[in-house]
Amino acid sequence: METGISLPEDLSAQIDDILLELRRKAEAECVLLADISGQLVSAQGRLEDIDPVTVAALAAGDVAAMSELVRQIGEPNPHGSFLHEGENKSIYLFSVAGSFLLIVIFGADTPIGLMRLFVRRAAERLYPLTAEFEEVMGQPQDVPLGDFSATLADELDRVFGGL
Amino acid sequence: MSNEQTKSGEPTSFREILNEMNEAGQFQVSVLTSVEGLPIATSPRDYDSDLISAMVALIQRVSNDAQSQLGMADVDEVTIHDRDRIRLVCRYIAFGGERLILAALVPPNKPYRRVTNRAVRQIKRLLS
Repeated sequence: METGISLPEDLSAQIDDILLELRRKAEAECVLLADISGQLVSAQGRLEDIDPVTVAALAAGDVAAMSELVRQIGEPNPHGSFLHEGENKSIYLFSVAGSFLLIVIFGADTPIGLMRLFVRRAAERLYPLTAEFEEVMGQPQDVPLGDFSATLADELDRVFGGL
Repeated sequence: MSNEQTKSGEPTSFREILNEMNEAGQFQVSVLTSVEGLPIATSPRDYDSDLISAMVALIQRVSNDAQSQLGMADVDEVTIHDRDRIRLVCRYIAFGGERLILAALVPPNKPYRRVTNRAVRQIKRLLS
């Protein structure tokens, strides 16, 4: 899967390994990892039905909006997890140390507890990689709205440009 | 999840563990949930786990209260009998920072402790 980010081979292999294990154990359809600005880092699983780049950009927007919302209600830690339960498919977004965004798409027959259990475990394995990732990418802002807005605008133009 | 088993015959998924446990103990249904009551696996697979998960979460709250009020150590098991002698058995599992509950509906006069012990060991192995 082509992504917009070029990582050292070793780091990339470690990330792919974590995502593959998460996908298998959590019975997910696909698992994506994006940086907090919405740039796709890695994608594993069945990707035929989705555009991973668009999903990553939109998910980052969702997390940024939700983080602001929880700040507004006085929650001291704005980085958390967000779940949308659909009739057939659901999506779970998990912010890893404010650097990575783990995006898991799963079917209605996947138990939520199973998915959450293994997302937490995958996040624990991803935490130590955030420092190396940030070194490669440069320190992220808390919510780099400039990068994010540009990425989101590009993707929205691409998706809805013909309408 | 895969139905494959390892070469040693050990189950490779939570659902397989529950399937084997139900078969060995002749249990009607079993669920593995988080302590918050979120279902992790159910057997049979198509069993509506929401009700039993909610009940397990309720039992968890009651046992937490009992523990704090009575100063008991960590709870190992909570059992509810109905008048038909069917039991809802909840086993607590704490391992690797995770806290899970294994619940099973056990028919009258059926032993359950040994088969649930085995399932608990297998669940811990999968978590490790």
